Amino acid sequence: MPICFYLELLICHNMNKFSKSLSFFLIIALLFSCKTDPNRNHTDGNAEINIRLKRDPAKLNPMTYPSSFSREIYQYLMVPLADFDPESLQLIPILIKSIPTAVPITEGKFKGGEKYTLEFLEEAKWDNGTPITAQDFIFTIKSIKNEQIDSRSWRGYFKDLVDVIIDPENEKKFEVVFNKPYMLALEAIVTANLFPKHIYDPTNATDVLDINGTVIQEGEMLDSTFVKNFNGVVHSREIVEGAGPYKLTAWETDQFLTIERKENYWASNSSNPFLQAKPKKMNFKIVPEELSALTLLESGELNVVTGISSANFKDLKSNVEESKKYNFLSPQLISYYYLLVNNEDKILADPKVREAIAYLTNVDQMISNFENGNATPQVGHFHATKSYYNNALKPIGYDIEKAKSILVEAGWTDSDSDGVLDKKINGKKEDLSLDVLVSKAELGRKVSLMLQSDAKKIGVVIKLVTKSGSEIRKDTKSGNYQLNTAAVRQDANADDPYARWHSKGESNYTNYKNEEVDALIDKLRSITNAPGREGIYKEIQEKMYEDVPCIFLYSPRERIIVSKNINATATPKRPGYLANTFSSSMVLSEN
Amino acid sequence: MLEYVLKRVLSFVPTLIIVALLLFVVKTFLPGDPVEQVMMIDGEIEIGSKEYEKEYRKIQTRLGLDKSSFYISIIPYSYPENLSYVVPRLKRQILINDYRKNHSFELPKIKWNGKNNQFHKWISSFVSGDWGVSIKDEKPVRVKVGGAIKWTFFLLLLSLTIAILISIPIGFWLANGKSTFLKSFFEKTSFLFFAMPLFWLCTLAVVFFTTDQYGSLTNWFPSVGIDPSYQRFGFWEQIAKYGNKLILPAICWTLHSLAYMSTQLKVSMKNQLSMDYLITAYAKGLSKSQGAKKHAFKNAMIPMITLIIGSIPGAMAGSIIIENIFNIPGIGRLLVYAIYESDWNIVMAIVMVIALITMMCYLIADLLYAYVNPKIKWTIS
Amino acid sequence: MRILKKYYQYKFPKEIKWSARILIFALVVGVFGKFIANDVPIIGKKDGSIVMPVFKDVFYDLGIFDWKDRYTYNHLDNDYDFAIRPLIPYSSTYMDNKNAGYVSPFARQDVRGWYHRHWLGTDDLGRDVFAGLINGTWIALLVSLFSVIIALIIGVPIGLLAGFYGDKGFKISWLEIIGGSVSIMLGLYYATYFCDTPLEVFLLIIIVTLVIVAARWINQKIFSEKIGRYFPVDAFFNKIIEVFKSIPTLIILFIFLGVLGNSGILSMILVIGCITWVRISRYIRAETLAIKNNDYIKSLKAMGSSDREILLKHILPLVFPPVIVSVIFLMGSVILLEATLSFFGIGLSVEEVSWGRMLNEARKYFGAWWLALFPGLTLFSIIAALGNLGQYATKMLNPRLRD
Repeated sequence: MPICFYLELLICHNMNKFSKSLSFFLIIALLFSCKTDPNRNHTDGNAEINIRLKRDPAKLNPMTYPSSFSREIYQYLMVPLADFDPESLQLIPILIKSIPTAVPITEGKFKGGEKYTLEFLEEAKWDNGTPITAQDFIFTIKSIKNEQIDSRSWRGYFKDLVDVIIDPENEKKFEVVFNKPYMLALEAIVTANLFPKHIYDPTNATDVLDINGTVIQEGEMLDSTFVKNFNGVVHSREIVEGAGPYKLTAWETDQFLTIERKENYWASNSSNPFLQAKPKKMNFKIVPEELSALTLLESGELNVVTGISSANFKDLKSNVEESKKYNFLSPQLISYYYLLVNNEDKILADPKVREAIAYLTNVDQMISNFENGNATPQVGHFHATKSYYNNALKPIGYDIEKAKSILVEAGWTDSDSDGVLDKKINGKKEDLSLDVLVSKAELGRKVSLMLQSDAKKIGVVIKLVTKSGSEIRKDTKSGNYQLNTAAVRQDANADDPYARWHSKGESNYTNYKNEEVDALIDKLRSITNAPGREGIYKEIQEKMYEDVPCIFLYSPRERIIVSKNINATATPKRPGYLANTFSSSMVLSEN
Repeated sequence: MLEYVLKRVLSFVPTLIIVALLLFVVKTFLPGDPVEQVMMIDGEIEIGSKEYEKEYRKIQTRLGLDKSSFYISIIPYSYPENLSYVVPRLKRQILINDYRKNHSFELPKIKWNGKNNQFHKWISSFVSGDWGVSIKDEKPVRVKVGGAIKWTFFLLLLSLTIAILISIPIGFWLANGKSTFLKSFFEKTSFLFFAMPLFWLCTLAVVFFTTDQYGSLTNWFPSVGIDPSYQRFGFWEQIAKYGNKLILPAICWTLHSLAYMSTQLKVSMKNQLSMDYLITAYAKGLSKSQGAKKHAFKNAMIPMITLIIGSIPGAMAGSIIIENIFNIPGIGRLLVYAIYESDWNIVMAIVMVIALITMMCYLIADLLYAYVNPKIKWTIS
Repeated sequence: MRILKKYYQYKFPKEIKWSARILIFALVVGVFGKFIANDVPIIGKKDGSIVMPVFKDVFYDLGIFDWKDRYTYNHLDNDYDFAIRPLIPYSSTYMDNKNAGYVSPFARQDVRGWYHRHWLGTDDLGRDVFAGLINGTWIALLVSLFSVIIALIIGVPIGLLAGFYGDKGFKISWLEIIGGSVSIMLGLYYATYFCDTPLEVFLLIIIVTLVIVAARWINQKIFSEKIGRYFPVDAFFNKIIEVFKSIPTLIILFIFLGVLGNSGILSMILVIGCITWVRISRYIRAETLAIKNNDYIKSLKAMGSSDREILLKHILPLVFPPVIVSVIFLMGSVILLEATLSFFGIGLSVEEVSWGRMLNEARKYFGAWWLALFPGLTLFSIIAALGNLGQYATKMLNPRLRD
């Protein structure tokens, strides 16, 4: 019918050109709408892999911003000296010749300490052809230890590093000296991502610093431009380079990042899993919504999708037709979810209150709801896969009555009959009302809603306060919160609980303070042989268990879906996969 | 006529200024401190240390937030002066509490700040083209908005084209002749699409028509989401490559506004068809169909033009929903992300752009209307 | 009485009857929602005494009554000797842990019996969809009703004044201008620096308005002749309209509510009311302009009726029918706006269950078709009913379209 109309209009004088061009446009538009989704995977050497990111990584600087999203990308750009093998979880060398062992120092200034001798590979060099030398390592250490650089998360590990001595005949060989034995000395030195000095410090501003990050001469200052660039946008978003097999070629905020294989890479054809570069290009597409991510996966525009909710994962897996097109990976990462508790808050300072809240969290139900049963409850800070995990400690279960009785014991009653427990603290009547900070992230919100609903039953009021991610980070760091939903991702090394749980730790956002635990941690740090630490670890876990510093929830399995035509393996090493080892197995023709 | 156009364009200015004022007022009362936001991104300093205050002042000066807000300040006599732009936010509340404890009411004093205030700086830089930088990644707002606006523009173009192509013949058909079952069925169905919330319609369209989940028979359209790496290509290449993704969103919007448009056309056609001049023409021998098409239709198109152009602002509001669901990197999606992240420079720029476009649309609609209908006099009513 | 009789005699078309029925049904469901879906019984006998938990629940929510054991025990248990339970034994926030994780209405559900079955399925956390729909009705009702009331309170007077006085009708003296602006400025100043709670601000607004009106009234009484200029009410009004028209409503709401975060229903009602009055106002102004030039009104003026009399006694009743039409359409768009804003997670607090929220949940996992279908269906039917009524009413007012 409309066609006849158009034909008649075509005859009509005035509408001639107008409707003709409109119809033309419509036909073109209809032609376009046919499904044309080319599959972009080519033969092995030129494969392009499209990976989904849930969020824009904000910053790509391993020293100042080691968040999990950034790590997923910068692990291909900036490699450390050595890292944990994805399969065996043992340290394997990447840029150095071999993993050193500690040599005790028996004389001289640093008597009682330990030293490690490392040597960079001969062929290791930067993109501009200059060799990787100890100067770059020294630069990295200086930056970590300098107070103005925002390297808090790393600084604690290098407290006892006092000197780096370069071999006078070989710039690639050097000794690192610790003035006392430190349990993670080796891991710290070798797993710190190496920064090229000529790119991050072109003006040699750090030459005024000594190895401890302090100025050598009085009156001199670290160039503020260097600090600003390093901490700020320049070296977090614009210039990100390292010794890894890929380089950053494009980054549009909230849209995508692209990294490409370096040509003339010094380690091409290496068998080291961190130096391989099987795909030529990796496009990280930022797709926050799961539905869109799955549709893109289906059409072939995404090959790797991480962070899927368990419901969709299960659905896709059980759908016989769909599941043939994908590989489903669920590695057990060394990570867990928990509720950060501000131990300095006036209500939460009482461990009984914290214990009561722990009894209010129905962890088993959460696991069955959100992870489809594929998760283990977390007890304490140390992951169950570690050898020193204290099996004797059982998870704090779900018992509403017990929570109520604990609170009554602690002095909380409903004295004003308004349905909410209250108590006199410092002379003022306080209601047991707690605020949980939630961002737009799904899981935190759902966990808090469950807690809220259970807490209502005994007269505890939990309020959900929505704030943007950066606000939450700021509030957490300044201690301006009561409860917060958070996650922790760890690596295969032994845990040094100093940063998070020592009262002087830099990342102790819970403000947890226990002198006995402090002493144990101090003692722990100085034991360099692994078996000697077992006993202390177990004791720390026991003491922390009684204190209930945080509400630990559970340790999930990561869920990754990969297109069938990519040979992908999962690894317990975060983030769960190493895309640079993925190879395409088939070539699919265009639809 | 030129005088009329000039007068109208001049009247944009006060409106835009009022809009800018409103936005500025909202910005002043925003919770959250933009200085601290930038500090978080630049690096983290121990709060409360002396470094903190120094750094705070530095960033404040850099962002231009150390000036007074507006041309005039009216503050109580003994209120701590320069409160919002010298003192870090943590201290502000303490000072305010101290002040409030001691005074319950005080007469104001009026201070003239001259040109050295935030509003003036913002307006003058906005007008001269410098729209500031986005807080998240320090990219100039202009670049971001410019890149996003072309997608919205094409989406709107496509939506309007399809809407016109479909609703005009349908409106014509509805107006002619008697009421048949098909016609009333159609009216009800189009009303159904209108009453459905746009976001529901879009989500259903996404699942049913772009994926295989409910059967591959209906999998007609390409998957949602402009491949985020579109910016590798040049302008026209992008459109050619990803234009097909805009079709389903355009169709969704068309379905949603179909009812309104076709009804309007039907109403105005009916008005025309019952006019006296047609009856005279029929009496003189003009055939009914010819009369309908040549005369009534042309006259009925007049209000349609206003309608079509007047639906552009509505389409921009709809594009917020459509772009978010179909994952198209246009202005709507940029605005929503900016609001989530409190990136106020982008929000202000986008709102001003939308206000400007809306007013221009109304002006063009009025001009076209007057052009087609010579009876309209050139006055501003 | 005569009107009601006429109503029953009049033959409304079938679809209008259905629309009206749907709306009345929604009204009843919304108001009595707590009696229809709740996890406590309506009347029960516990430990020998008769209790009425649902009434307590309603008062508890309104803040009047304090009920300390509201959530103390699992109300689905048979603690009661006998109980009359509501239709749906779940409240909208009750999380049924045994049936959590997107249970379909047709799936096997782990419940005690037919009565306890989740007829429309559950969502991720185990909340019943049916109960959620009912709560959503209540929220939609609240939001649409109160924001329309606020819009009317602000919009009707302004529209009437703008239409009636036009540009040259309103006379105001210099004294009044100065006095008026000074008192407004003082009011704003006081509110910014010396007010703590929104309640104080609200009281302040009322006081300032009363002072201005009283001053003008006194001025009129004392000075019988009004010296001064004409205050261009219409031009002022048109400017305001232009500002509001230049930004689409959804965007303004997004900005204001996005800034306030998830602050709850009250702020949503206030913001929506304060922004949508413009639509009503325009309509009223147009109608007033049309009526103003009636001979009837002109003769009233010639006979010496005061402006106030003409406005209130004669014009207002005439303007009312079109206002009703625009109110109906406004309610429909407000419900839609609220759903859209909740869909984006803005406006309502995190715990509230509204239709838009449920549709947002549905997007996460599209296998849960019941989460997408039912809220969408209810939303659609309410908006369609309102739209139908509105269309019918416009038809009635415009004779040319009747056929």
